[in-house]
Amino acid sequence: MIKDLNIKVWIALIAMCTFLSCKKNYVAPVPDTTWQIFNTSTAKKLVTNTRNKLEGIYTITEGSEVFGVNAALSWSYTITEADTLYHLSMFCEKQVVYMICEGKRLDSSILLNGYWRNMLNTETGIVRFNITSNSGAKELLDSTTSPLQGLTLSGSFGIGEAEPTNPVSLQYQRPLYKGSPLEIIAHRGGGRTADLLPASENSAEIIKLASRFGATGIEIDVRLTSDGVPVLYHDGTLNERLIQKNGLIGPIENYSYRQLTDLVRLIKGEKIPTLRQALDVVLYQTNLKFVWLDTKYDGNMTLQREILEEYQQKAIARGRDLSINIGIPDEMVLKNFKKLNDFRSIPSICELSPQDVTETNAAIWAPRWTLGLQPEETARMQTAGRKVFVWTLDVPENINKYFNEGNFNGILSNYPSSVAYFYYAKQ
Amino acid sequence: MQAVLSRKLFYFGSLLLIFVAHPLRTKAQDIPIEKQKFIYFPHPQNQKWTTSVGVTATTFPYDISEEFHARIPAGDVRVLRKLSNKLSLDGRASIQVLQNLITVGPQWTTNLNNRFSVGVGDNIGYWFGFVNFAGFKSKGSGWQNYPNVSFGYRFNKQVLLTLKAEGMMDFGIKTYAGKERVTTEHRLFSGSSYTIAIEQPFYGNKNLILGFRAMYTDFYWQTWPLFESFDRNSFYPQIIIGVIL
Repeated sequence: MIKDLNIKVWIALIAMCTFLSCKKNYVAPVPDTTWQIFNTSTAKKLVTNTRNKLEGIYTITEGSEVFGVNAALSWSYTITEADTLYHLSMFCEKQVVYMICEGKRLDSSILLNGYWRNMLNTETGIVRFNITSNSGAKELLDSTTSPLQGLTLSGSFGIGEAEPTNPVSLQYQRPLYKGSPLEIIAHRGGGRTADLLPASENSAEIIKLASRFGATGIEIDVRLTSDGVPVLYHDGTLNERLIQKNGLIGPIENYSYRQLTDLVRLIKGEKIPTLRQALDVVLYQTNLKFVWLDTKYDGNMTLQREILEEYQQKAIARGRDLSINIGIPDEMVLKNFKKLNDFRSIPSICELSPQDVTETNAAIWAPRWTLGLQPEETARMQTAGRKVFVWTLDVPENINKYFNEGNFNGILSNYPSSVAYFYYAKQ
Repeated sequence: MQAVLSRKLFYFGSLLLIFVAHPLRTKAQDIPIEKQKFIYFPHPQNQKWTTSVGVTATTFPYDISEEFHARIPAGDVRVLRKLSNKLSLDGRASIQVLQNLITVGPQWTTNLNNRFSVGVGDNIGYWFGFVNFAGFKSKGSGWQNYPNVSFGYRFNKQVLLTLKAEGMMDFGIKTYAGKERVTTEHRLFSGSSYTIAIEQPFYGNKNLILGFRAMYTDFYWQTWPLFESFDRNSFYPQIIIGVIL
């Protein structure tokens, strides 16, 4: 029968439907930053003094069409089994663009090697700087000199995997702002999976990257497996947004930790981490100062509290300035939180009403950003000895406004690099 | 580009084709185009007014809506007003009560021969919405423009097939979360969409529209309350079902 209608036409229609049903999978892979001169054995690590002198606010005199007019340069580190890795992050004024470089000394020059990324799309590429002795390296390497007003970082950047050939220059202007402290909290451990970062959201790997993105702390989502193991996972169900396809569906609470470990991989191939594994990374591999445990489950919170207290003690023992807090996002969690013994003594972040904040004695009140700047309520909270964090701010103009016109102690964002820029560039 | 096939859409497309290719329909007589009713088919209108009512269902991508991956329905009303032999005015309302889109624009159509016809048009639209979500009121509005071209083929069994390509332009977008203006920038040339639609007799003197629209856009108006900031095109598949009155 179908032949009557011309089988070729139907085949063409099916092919058309198939074609129209195809979507583009966006990726923004970190480019291969291998640079032969950078990897030579004669290239040495930068010493602390040199690193510190590189920090500051710079004007971008070349390459501003990609990176904007200004950038804030700040170092962070992560600790591996073998070494401590330092990264110089350049938080650019232009909408959510950053560069992340490693630095080395080669004879009388300083080399910076890394990549750049625009978080709003998939633009990325290699970036390299070669600071010669005459253009400032001499003073940077001299332990007796101060930061240089005339320091210029000249280099080049590329698009994608292409060799960097486009000029980029940064000229030192002033030191970073380090007045009133601001907690810069990276959402989901460092950023969402949709942001096309090198690691999956709520993974151990993304936590290692958070400080390179400008974060001083992280927010992570906690759920319980069927056998009661707290793990990091945001959504209510296993789905293709967060995990590689494997046929498993339904709530994560339906699976044991062993099943999740054996059968499930996050979108970038990592295992779903336990809360302990995540806090191990925070404590032993980063300099993050703040952890927000966003409670996503309905159940007994005793184990989460015990883990919090255990790691708080470990942090004290290591001399770390680390604050771990249980998040109370809704009435369900509030009810479970109040069942804990002496709940008022537990460090917590309450997203609910000021009355709930008082009842739980939360250390932090966290209103949604859409509720506005709320200057009176914020002042009342701060007078009572609490901090106020606002969430989740992603639009750079709104971040700028809330930071400069509000009086918040912390900002939660998917784009901590943008928050970091506005913070460090404050005058 | 790595292409990923959406199985559900493939099944829908296949079912749609099987439906229209049902054996009972193959026995229908060829009806002259002058006696048929159509909305999508790019052919000079036979009647002064042609109206269709129906629904569209659009699936939001994970990148935008995250775990909320539902298919969002909207009422869909289209009216064609014949202005001259080949020119008509195309009006459309996409209605979700709390957020709505109205478009209107001229459409020029002509038949190339007994089977093939083409049309070009341009629709300008205005969308607006008010959403009370999690204790705060959001509102948004914006303008759109859809230049479009259509290609039609009339089967000899009363089935009208239309392929339509549209450019998608967005401008004047104003969104507020509570009292806060959200100043997300969006491109003027947001993306494009591609529609495949089939129209055929249904019951009585009604005609049925079944269609599938694939949108690739930086901004889709129904997602304004999510305040997404990505500067890249996402894929929004849309199913279209309607009845021509």
